[in-house]
Amino acid sequence: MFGHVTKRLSAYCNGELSTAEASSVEAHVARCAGCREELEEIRLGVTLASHLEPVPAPESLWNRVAAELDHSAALEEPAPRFAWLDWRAAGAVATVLLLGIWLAVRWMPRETALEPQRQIARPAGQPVLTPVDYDLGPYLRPVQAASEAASFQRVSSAPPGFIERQREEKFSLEWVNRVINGPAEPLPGYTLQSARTGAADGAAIVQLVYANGANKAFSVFIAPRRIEFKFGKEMAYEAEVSGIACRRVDCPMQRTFEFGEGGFKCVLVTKWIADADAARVMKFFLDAYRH
Amino acid sequence: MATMATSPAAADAGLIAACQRGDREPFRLLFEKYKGRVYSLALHFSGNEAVAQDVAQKIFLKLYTSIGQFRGDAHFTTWLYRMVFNACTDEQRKMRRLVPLEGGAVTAAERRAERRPQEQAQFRRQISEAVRGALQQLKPELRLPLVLRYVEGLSYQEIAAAMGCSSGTVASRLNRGHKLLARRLGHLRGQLDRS
Repeated sequence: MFGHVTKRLSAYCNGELSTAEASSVEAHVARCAGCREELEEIRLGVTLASHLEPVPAPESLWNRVAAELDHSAALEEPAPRFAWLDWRAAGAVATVLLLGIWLAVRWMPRETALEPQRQIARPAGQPVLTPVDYDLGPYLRPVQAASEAASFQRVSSAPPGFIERQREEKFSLEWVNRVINGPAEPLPGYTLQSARTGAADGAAIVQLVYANGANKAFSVFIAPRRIEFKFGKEMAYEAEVSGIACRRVDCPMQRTFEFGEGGFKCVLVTKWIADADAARVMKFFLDAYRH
Repeated sequence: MATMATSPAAADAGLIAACQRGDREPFRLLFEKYKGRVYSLALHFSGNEAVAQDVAQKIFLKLYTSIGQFRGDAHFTTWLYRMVFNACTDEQRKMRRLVPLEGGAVTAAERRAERRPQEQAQFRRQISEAVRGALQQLKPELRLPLVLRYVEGLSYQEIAAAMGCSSGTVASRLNRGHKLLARRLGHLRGQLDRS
């Protein structure tokens, strides 16, 4: 019907209309039941929205910004210029290097030189994925070991069933042990709290839990093949986080990053750490696997 | 509620000029002044603390590198809001394949809000939580005007400048946003009336 004021009701409730316009709306609403009803609905929406409040930024935000600024500044520093380099000396070095490479190739045993790139066993075809709860605690058994302290450090002391499964799947526990017993941590300030072994959909799987002592933590699940995490209706999507390709699932309570290569599949689960830190964790495990 | 955007850009002119020279300390001061607003907007828009921190971080890094382009033609806050708007919509685009959650935290927040509150402050917090949850169900183009209006207290004209659209579009989107919030959280009407 001509003259309805529904489009102006929010502006009216928010005090955005001039006195004349507001009077016009009031006059119309007084005689139009439809607009009156709509005004009540808008008013409820306005009342509800008025409960939105500013939220203070976390204190750590500046540290993150400053760290990135430092990082960018470092990247932008000009590369050192080798003004001292004598071109004749450079030529001599290059000649020696080329000669060395030629000799190495010439005398290398043929079977080694022709050895194909190592193939990592993968299940034939697309693996059948069974959804599992993101908290794999119920699926995983704590590592049994002589002492409680050692149980958190030696994944290779896993139960016999797990050991058999990992052998079948060529899942290297030695590698996992090397990583978790190494001097470096995936993320500064976070230390390994526990290591669990177990199975999800028949696959051997290790869960490493890292925490920073301030109730912030993340888990990395390592498996010989892809493990899918289900949170609800949301979908995963392919992403690139600080240059690291991964499959990502975001939801209000948790975020997961699926990454890895070949028979090495990891899932980083966290609700605390930011993208840049997640990328550092992923890079740590990828580098450890590649080397 | 925060108050901003009505002060002229000149209020920040000295600080911005120092930032444009590439000094870190003035930028730190600028950060301290606006960090709450930027983070708050990102949080209300994304509904996720970790994502909000990522978005806020990106915005400030972008601000640091592009502040030299700010010529003072508009209010600094308008320029900053535009940056926030772009960052939030970029984030939304990345997550466009995600289906909004119907249950989980949102439902839990609403359930908490339905309980009879013992204290007014707690009640307000609970309603606020429920509204934040309901906001996530709205399309981004409806969510952002609501956040700019109610978290930042911007006028329709200021929202329009930040979003690069007309005041009429802002009015229309707020109309739809208000109605959807009312329908989504209509069951809280009784408690709001009693409070």
